[in-house]
Amino acid sequence: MTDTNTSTPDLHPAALLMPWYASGSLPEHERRDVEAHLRTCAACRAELESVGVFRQHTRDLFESQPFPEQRIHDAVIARLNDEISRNNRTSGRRSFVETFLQGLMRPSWAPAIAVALIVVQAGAIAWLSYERSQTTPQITTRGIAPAAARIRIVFNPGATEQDIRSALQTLGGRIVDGPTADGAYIVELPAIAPTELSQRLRALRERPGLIERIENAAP
Amino acid sequence: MLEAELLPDDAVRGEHSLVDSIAAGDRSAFEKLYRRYDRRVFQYISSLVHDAATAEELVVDTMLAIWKGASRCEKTSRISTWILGIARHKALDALRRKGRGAHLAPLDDAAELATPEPGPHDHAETRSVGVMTRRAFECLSSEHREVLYLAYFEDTPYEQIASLLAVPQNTVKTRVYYAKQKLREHLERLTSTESVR
Repeated sequence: MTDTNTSTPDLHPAALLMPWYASGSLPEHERRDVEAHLRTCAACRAELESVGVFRQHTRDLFESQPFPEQRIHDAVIARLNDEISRNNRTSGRRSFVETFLQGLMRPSWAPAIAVALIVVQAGAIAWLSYERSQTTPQITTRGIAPAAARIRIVFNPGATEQDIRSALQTLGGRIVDGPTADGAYIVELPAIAPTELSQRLRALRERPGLIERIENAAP
Repeated sequence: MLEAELLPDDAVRGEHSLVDSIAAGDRSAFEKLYRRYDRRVFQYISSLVHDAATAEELVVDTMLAIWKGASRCEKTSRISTWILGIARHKALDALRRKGRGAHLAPLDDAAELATPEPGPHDHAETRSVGVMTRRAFECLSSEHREVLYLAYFEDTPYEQIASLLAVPQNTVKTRVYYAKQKLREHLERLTSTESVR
């Protein structure tokens, strides 16, 4: 609650303490201060009297309030019993599991459990070894593509562009350099089997007036 | 009133050991503590929710919370403050659930509230101070009813009320002061209304 009345400019501080002065629940030093103030302040004496009246009204009101003692008691006990039996069921389930695990951990069982674990481990190792022996190791490489061949070709000076294109098609290669000082072109061929390469070169040499010289080039 | 606060230290320690026993599952300890606080919890909750049936349910909830939460009770707090704190929490929760949060707002202008019309039985005893006080009380906000209950009926020291309500001590002093002023105003208004009838 945001008390809209927290500032009390017209009130003596002692007036605010009257309820607790009246009930005798003020700390000693405050009680003495209030008592001294009351001797000289008629307004606070009136406030104390007013507090006394309303305090009595309030007490009469709450004391006369019907209190269904037995009904509430019965309801509390019923709920409490429910709560306790629910907890017992839960702890019963937990204790079964705990008992089982504790039983396993008893010293008399420990050697048997240790032997069983060793046997299981040995079996697993043996099985894995057998599995490995049954499989043929397959060694595969990522492979390195055969290097492309390079050849030097000196075409006959009378060979036309069309002749040269045709020759490159026959070889399945492409000019990557040249012409050099002696008029040679470096032709790169895709990686092919040596026999295939020999056949292509032979076919090229057999063309009249096309090739003056042909030889391997340094890669 | 407020036995725990006025009890000697031994008795206060005794209440803490009761709570310790409850935490260990001792039902007879719970029964003892229950008997000390059942009526007070009911009255305190009634001052907040102002509905007897709801107050009954909340007392049961509070007592069960004491049983279940005994192990979490701090040794530094008074048992009465701990118990009434649980009851307060339950009551405020119930008020929120029922959408009566408006009653938690400052209602220092409670005079704006409609004065409850007297029932047929009330007419016969309309001049009874008790009935008038009850009706005047009904006009107060929950906050004002609560602090009047704690200060005037339970005789709870203002430091403990401040701790329970989590407000400054000066707020407690002024809230109790103005709650009484409001109660007097409502009582005077109701008395004058009845005398005119």
